[in-house]
Amino acid sequence: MYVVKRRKLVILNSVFTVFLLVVALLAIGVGPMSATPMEVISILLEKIGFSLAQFTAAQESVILNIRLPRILAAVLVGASLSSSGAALQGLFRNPLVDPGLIGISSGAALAVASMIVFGRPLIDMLPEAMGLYVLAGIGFLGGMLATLIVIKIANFSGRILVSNLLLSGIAIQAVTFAGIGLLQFLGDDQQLRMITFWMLGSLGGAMWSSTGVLGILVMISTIYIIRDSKQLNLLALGEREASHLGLDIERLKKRIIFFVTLSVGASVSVSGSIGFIGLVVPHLVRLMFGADHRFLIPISVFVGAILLLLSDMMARTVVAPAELPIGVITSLIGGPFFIMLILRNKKIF
Amino acid sequence: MIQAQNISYSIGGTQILTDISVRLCAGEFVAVLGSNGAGKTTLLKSLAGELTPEASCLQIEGRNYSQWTMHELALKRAVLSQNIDVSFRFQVMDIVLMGRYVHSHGYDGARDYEVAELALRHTDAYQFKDRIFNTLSGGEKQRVQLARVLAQIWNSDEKNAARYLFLDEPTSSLDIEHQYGMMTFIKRFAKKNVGVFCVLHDVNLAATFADRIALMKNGRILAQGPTESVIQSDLIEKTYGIAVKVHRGKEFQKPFIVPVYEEV
Repeated sequence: MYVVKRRKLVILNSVFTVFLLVVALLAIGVGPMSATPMEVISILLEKIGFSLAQFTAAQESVILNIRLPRILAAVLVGASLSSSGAALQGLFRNPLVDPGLIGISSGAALAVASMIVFGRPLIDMLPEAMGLYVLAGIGFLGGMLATLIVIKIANFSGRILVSNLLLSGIAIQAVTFAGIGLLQFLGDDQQLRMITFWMLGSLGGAMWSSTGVLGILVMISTIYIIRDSKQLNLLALGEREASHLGLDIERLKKRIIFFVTLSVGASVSVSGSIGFIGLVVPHLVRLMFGADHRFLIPISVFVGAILLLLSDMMARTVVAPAELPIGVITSLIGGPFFIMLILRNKKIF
Repeated sequence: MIQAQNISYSIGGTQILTDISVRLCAGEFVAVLGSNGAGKTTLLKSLAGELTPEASCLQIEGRNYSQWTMHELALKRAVLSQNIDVSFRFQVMDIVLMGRYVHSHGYDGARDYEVAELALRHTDAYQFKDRIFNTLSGGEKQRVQLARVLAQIWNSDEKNAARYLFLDEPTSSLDIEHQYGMMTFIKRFAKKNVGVFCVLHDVNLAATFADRIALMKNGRILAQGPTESVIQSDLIEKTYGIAVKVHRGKEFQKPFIVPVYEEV
């Protein structure tokens, strides 16, 4: 009986890994410069000395320098948002929580909007790529700062009160959105467009260097979040009950918030804020595989990555050669899908 | 043994416990009775190491609570609180296995499943083991939660080391069959070197199963001692403020009380 669960997780992880690889392979080939999966594999293998099929130099260049970092960024951002969403829902014991709620995304958005409106001369001075880095860095710092404020407010003589965390998160979100609104009012047309585009999210800015940093931060955070799965299970019994079972709740809260902030902060600064993935994916996985966080979090990583890959593929192709903001797609599909889940299973929590 | 001397506890100027001294030995069943707001739950939390009241002595196995790690304590004592709700749709078996987390690293082992199943059988909840916990009735949830708490201290690593079980109104949602069934099992469980500290509302249930009873009123202990000596009509009347008659006799296994009230 007991081996069954562990084996089930291993099987599920393998199945989803294959599924993710297949979707990624398809996604790399889709776009104005298309390539068949076989060609994609050849291009990748060529790098380590195997040659299979023929491909053009232009294909190689586009796929290695533009598509591949973008696809990896989609996988990382999707994984980061959905695993963080699952962990935060567990921590708050509330299925309505999404990673934006503790201020990360809104803080990042406010910082980036301020930079776009007031820091324009600085960005213009730098080469274009550098400008993007500066924006990403500022976004990361802004997200961290907002979350730090939220935590400070919720801190009650050394204990983080979860209900206060939620409420102060909502308050900070309101304040930052007001700030962003003010900046949109102050900014010129081009700045307005930049802010809007950033807030709706896009993976268009993904480059090898930024994806590399994102990869390191997301992987470290996700490993630590997965390691806390059992502890999050205990928390479902209630905070007191979990502490009777030997869990140091305050340390768990701090750990989860730290790694979620790191992971989502990095994601948001690369892609802008992308809605709904962090909320919907954990629900979907819970519905399929139950509430045990030892399943929920790792599988959310895969499902989030796959869904964001597909959304990004749509964002790139639906109005080609232009691009839709990916946040529009995730919310446009995620919203009705979520409503359908609620209607079909009245009790999804 | 858990030993508490002169515990006092107050929140925001309201005195909840005043100068209480009690002890709980492994192997005995102690019931706590008292009216609503008498401080029973606060006393239970203090003895379980959850609160840190003022005290001249508050020790478990001769060491202050602060000298224990949370992990060590979790192996030593289990607590069934009044909150039996669980967030998210966990399976009943998952919930009971959570009681075993403190014993296992990584995944639950064969022994953990074995203990969880045994605990579920003894609380008459085995038939729900694959159900979603949130779909159970109140009494069924209570039985599953008890199974979880029992699984936590089922067998310690050393053979029958002393353990402690704190139960806060464990029978509040149970029918009479399950009330007596649960108490019988807990009494048997206590014999395996487990000290049971149980808050109850039913005086007769306490009189039937407890080795010792403590009566509480307004944050103080009114009387405590062997069950026979505490189940006295004057003491019960002082505790609850209603007149009662205590029946004893060869035809009854234990003393029991009947409230005396005016015919309406």
